[in-house]
Amino acid sequence: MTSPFPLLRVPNLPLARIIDFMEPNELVPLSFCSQKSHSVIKTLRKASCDEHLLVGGSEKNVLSILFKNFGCVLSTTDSAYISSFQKEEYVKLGGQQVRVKFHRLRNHLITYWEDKLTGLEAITDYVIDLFNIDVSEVCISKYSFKMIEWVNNRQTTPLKKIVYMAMAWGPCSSEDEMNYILKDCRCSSEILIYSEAPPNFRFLNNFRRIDCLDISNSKWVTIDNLLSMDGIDIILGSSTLTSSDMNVFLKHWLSGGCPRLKLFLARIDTVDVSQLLDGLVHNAVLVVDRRDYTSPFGHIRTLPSGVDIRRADGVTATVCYQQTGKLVIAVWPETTYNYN
Amino acid sequence: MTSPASSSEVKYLIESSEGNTFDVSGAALRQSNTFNAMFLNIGADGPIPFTDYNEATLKKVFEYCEHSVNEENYSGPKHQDDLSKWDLNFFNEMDQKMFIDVINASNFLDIERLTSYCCERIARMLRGKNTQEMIKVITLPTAEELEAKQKVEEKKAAAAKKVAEKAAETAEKTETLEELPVQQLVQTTRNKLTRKYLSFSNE
Repeated sequence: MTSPFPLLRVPNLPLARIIDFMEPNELVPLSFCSQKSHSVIKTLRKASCDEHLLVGGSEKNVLSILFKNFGCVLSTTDSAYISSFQKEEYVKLGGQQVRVKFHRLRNHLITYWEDKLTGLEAITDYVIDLFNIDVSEVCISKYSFKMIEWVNNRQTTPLKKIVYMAMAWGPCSSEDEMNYILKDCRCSSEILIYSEAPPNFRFLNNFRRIDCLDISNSKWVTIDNLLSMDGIDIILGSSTLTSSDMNVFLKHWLSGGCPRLKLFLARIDTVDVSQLLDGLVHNAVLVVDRRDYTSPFGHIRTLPSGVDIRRADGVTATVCYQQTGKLVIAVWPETTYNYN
Repeated sequence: MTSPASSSEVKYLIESSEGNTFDVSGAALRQSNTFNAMFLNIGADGPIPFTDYNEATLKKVFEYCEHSVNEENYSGPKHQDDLSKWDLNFFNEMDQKMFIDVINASNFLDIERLTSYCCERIARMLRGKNTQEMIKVITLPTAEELEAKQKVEEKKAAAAKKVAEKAAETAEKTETLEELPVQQLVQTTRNKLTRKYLSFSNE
């Protein structure tokens, strides 16, 4: 059946079913059709409990709103990128007429703005209101840094995840930005920093409780910083920690520090096993069996061999130095983390 | 014939909005949760009145039910690509009006499988379309059409206002004309009296 269909004359119950069959990226253009189509989606759509809204983006010119496990539903870009051959199409968004284009390959609407960050705020407002959902994650760069605060001021639920990505050609993050992410901003679960810290940066405070901390360039992380962490997954790329530091951390864990730890992973140039296991040999059992380990936050590691050390409460961790230069501490048993 | 028996051989009489009746098997009817809730256990003493729906719609709905009697229990909507040739023909041969009537009837009768397939089919019609294309599909007026409609309405309102003003003006003029002789009479009388008074005082 390809002929027109008066959708809004369908009774509410089947109409709700139709809306539930539609994907978020299809509902957004439908919501722009009329006030009634907007209110029908807003009132009849059943939100799935595993829906998570992500705001931001790592693309150079595009900032987007995405549903995790689905994809982009609406994006914003600079109005300078409008092609003169493009047919003019506008939608009413945030009280103003906004130029849009439907991306046929990606199947979502692109909105054009003079300032794409203002656009991102406007489309975020629109999507939050339409789908009655809070933002779970922000993926920001230096340019869109203020989105963390904007989102946190807009909603009562704290962000679950913050990803700070520096663009390859962009400047490194500032001390203020680093301190804000690590110390001040409201985030309940994951912080991922994929950015160069400023030279000589030092974090002088104690780490707050962060379930998953992933720092791609962690040269600034000291053993004192590490001892103050309380995380489940701790990933430190390009670390300057030494074998002796790791020995201190292992003893800290054995004596009850960092009690929630499941996976610790640090890229360390060389490991001196005698320094690493200094004072722990009596507790270390060599394991040669190859094992796979999946952390609560989905990091998957293969442990070709290693030593098992056991805490007084019976919990065992495997310490393994991989040829890729990564030192892994995997705490057994494996557990899965419920995002909700 | 209507009876509470549960055998699939049992036939029930269905009455449409035109007052016509026709047979439907018990097995087909049992796909309707509305029927199950209302008549399955107590039976019906006469034709079952589904008089909000016409005969053609009800026959179409129960044609589907009769066909899917032997299908396995419903477990969520099938992907449209997995529909059988019969199912595809069933949907394709319906025009828009019949399709809406079938959804309405299927919704009322609470026939899970048919309602789901219909809804999924409509959702698919909107897939990959931008707002303007959706407006055409769901038969809403476009922004241009709304604007044109608004302009026509404004023109109509302006014309009506003009007519009303003209009518008011005419009424005012008529009123003045009607009042003129009286005023003239008063003025004439006043002039006469003044003149009389002056001549009297001169004497």
